[in-house]
Amino acid sequence: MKALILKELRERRLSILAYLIGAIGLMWLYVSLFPTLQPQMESYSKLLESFPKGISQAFGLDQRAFGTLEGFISSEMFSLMWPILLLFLSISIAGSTIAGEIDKGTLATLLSQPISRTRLFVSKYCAGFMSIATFTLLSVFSIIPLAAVYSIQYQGKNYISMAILGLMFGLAVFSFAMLLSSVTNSKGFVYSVSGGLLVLMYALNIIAGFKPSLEWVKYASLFHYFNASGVIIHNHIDTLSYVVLIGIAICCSIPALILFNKRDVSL
Amino acid sequence: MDFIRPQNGEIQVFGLDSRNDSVAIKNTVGFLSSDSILYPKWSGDQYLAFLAKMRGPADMTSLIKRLDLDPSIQYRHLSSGNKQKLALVVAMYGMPKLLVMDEPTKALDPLLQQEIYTVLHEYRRDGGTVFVSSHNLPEVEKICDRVAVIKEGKIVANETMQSIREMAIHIISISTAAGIKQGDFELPNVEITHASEKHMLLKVKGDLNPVLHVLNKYKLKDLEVNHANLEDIFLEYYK
Repeated sequence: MKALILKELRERRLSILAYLIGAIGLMWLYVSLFPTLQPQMESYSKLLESFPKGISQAFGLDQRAFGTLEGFISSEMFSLMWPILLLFLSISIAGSTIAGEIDKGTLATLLSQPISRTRLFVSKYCAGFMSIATFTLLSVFSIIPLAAVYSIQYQGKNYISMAILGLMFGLAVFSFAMLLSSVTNSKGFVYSVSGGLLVLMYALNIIAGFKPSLEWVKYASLFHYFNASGVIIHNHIDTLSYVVLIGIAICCSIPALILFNKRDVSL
Repeated sequence: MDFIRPQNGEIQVFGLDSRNDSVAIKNTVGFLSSDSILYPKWSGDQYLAFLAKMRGPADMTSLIKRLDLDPSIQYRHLSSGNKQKLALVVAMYGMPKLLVMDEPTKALDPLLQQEIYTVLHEYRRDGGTVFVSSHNLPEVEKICDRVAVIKEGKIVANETMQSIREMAIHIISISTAAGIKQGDFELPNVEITHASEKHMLLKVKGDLNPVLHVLNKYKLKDLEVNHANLEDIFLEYYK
């Protein structure tokens, strides 16, 4: 199993590196801009106060914390850009690891080796999880040395919570995409269905913020449970976020394993 | 290879159940698919290192040298012939007891085909079993001792190559100086597969003598009698 995990990680090392360079590059940009922008944050906060509450909630803007690095980085990175990178990475790994290999015809070599399908799936799942964890931990914790370089005060513990939330969010999306990947031969199907569903969920979360009568739809959106501003500013993860995100990961990965074990693999 | 899950029935390989003991079976089986593609960025050396971790160490140097394969080149940079050579090395890694092959010489030039036939012949001589699926029937005649014909998903014939060769089916090619009357050859167990004014091709099942008796009437320019090849016999099953 170790050989298979290493093989998967070796296959993905360049794409993980590319995602990391993108994420850390953006973090660096925003952290370096923060000392220049900080004196003007008070006027931004006043501007934000004039916005409807729904807009602030929908886009993860917390005017009370806008003058801190955590408030700034939360609104600039963790409200949209960073989760998009995480989602792209999670879905692309899941789509290519099973459906993509069947599509290309490379899975035959693995399936003809003396290894059970369960071990093959678990190896691929573990490698995917390790890739997501590598991206999440390195990109989130890159803020700490960057803040130190620019002599900016930061809340170290908050980044640990942010990494945990990001990891759970990435794992939930990865597990759902693995479920799709386990039943289809087309990685395009995995990308389009997962991507389409996440765009819909993002829209639902925005709509819930704007229309009080539709506030309940936020519970149908994964983005509601990815409350980055609440975590990185206030260092608090809702219990519901733990339950839903881990629940989705479990409820998708177990059926994915069962279905992969049962399916025909036409080569 | 346990790629397709059975709806019913069972397959046993070396006395082991194909579903429950698939890992143990795959330890003794090498697989070469006509459509499978190896990882494009992996070189032969990387494949061998991976297989060593999956199946244990094995020395494939002699086969690699024999096939004149450079294992340091990435799969995507190999020619189609060299890709097939690498796939053969991967399938034969550790000299498994059984080789399952689908169209093993598809798209290969005749020289490389001959080389692969020789490798497979030696593998069989050393005690290995080759299970090959092929639409290239001359290739099947060269490689196989026993042939099964599948029609509509069912095995309709399972014969040794020797018994197929001994089947009394003959192909007779007749050329005459004067014309040939087609009606003379409309005999039981005789099929006229081609007829022109001075040439006729017959497929005769069983006794040749009635045809030879008719031929006495003609002044022959040329006569050729051959045993039917596997392709002719295969087509018989599909009538």
